[in-house]
Amino acid sequence: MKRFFSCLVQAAAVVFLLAAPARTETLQTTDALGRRVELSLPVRRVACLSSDALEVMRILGAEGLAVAITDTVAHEPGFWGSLSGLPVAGTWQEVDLEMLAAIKPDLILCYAKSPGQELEARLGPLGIAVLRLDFYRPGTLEAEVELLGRVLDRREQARTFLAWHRRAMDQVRSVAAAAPRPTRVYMESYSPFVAFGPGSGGFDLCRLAGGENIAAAMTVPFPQVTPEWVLQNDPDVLIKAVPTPVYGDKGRERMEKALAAMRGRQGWTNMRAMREERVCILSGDLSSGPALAVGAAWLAKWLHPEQARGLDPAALHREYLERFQGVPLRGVFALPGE
Amino acid sequence: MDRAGTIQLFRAHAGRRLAVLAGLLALPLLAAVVSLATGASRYGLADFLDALARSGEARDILLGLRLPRTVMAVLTGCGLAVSGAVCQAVLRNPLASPFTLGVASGAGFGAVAAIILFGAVHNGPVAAGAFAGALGVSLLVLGLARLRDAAGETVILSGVALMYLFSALTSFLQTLGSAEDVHRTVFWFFGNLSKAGWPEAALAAAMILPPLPLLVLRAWDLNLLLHGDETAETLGVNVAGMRGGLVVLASLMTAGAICFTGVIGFIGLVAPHMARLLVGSDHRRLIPASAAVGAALVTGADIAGRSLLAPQVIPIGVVTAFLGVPFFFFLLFARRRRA
Repeated sequence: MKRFFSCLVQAAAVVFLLAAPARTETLQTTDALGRRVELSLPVRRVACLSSDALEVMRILGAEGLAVAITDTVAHEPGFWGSLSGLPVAGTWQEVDLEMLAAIKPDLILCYAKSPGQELEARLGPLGIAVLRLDFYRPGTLEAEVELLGRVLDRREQARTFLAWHRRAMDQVRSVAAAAPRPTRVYMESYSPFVAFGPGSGGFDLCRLAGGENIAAAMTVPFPQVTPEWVLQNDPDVLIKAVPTPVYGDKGRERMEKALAAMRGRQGWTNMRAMREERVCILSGDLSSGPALAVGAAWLAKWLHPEQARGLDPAALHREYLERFQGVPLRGVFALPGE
Repeated sequence: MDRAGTIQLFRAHAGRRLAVLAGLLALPLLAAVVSLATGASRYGLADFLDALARSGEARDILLGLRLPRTVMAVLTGCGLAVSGAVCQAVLRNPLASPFTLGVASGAGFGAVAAIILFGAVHNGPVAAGAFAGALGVSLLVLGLARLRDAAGETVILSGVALMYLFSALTSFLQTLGSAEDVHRTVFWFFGNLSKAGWPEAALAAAMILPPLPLLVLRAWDLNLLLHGDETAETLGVNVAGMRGGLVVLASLMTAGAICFTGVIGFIGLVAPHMARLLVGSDHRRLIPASAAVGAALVTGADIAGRSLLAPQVIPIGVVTAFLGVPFFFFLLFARRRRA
């Protein structure tokens, strides 16, 4: 009888060990909204609802973990390659919750504020974690890349990218520091006469590159301004951001048209920036997102051409695309320049 | 009271209304002068002569930027208000305006389609898309109304249905757009007079000004329409033809105004009512009075929008709504009290 009980206990122990799940680790972290988030590691399946986050996954060599994407990625096979063929779970603002529940990823990566928090409310009870990281702001990019490296167990790859990014940003900072005075800039967002104001990514990038944004006194991130106010401020440089995507040949025409439209703005012909032909166009691919160091380098080049002689933004861009994205440099992302 | 006394009273009353009309016509002029004197730069009215005489910064600012903006504000207000007055007359509905006919929704859909489907990055194609959308909706309203003898309620119901349809189509397109595209469509809907230069003002003038004398000439017919279709028909008005023609004309004037500036709401609804309170319902006076009130309102709203949070601009569509909504409520409650 004693022997029978001993066998029973041993059998129960074996069954318990076999039935126990694989060893998991829990990571407690803070997302872009400042909320505490608890994640179960390892993460094997990621639904990526932000193209910036997918770009970072590719930087980390973790794109193979992606199991769902947004329509933005599906529409750009030239840049995204086979990732474009993954199931589309919606757009950057609206997702198919039912589809995500069916795919059952370990983790959903998305922007801080979109889609809405119905994601957590509906999918949290199904055991699907949501991590909100922006990956487009100069002030938070490094911490977010480092965090995703930990979450996806790609710490080394994150360190490699961050070393490259910091080196590029240091170059930009040293150019800005060497400039005798800040260059005055009017930096326009995607809409006509809507500036990048304090709180916008473009504003931060401009300051980083040693630019004195003439919209610095504004109180909103995207203030509407008058052409007369811009003319009165007589900026040294005009920079216009053009919406993404411009990768490939189709972006060239878009960039050139934007440049011609800026140069042809009525009443601005006597503005210093116009007279000195310092009108520049920057693609949204570079003004925000993981490649923003390249955008910052272009700004530094345009704002301080003398001090930035040794800075080669096109080479930086090529390196970023070839080394971290695995694609060649194709298309025009900055004018004048590339 | 004898006949002579009645005639004297009528003349005195008409004289007062003409005096009010003359005063109203001075309003947009005054607003335009203030607009020309207001801006981010140091230049004021005294610098205009200098700007006319020689090239330089004063000329760039006063003649190249401030003057076309003011002209566009006057034209936009005038076009929206007159088309509102015409819609309210031909549809015999005080709440009618080109916006309730779906013209603004059509323009918005056209602009959003140009931005999201065709990747338009500058103003020309976006304005063309807005114009095509507005024109398409007006023709649709007219076509649908003609199927049912162009009765007023059919035109309004068709317009409202199309307004909802095109608003839904716009929302659908926005769900397809990238964050950057949606950003641009949102700012288009706010309205922005900064986009208007001389070429835009000239095109808007070509669409808004020519119908004005024509409408004043048909003022009697518009007056007769207020008494009902049957009365107007009996007195020789081709009601169906006139209603269709005037709805399209009003829509064209609206399209001319908003395709370059974005949506500027409430002027088409509110300005004719303000004018009616001051000069009465006779369209011989109401059309020019509406034009004057509309022009003064939009120009005034632009001055306020540029000045209140300067150098930030409060979008013109927002300011006109701030002015228009309280007045709209006033109208609603005043009508209810009278009822």
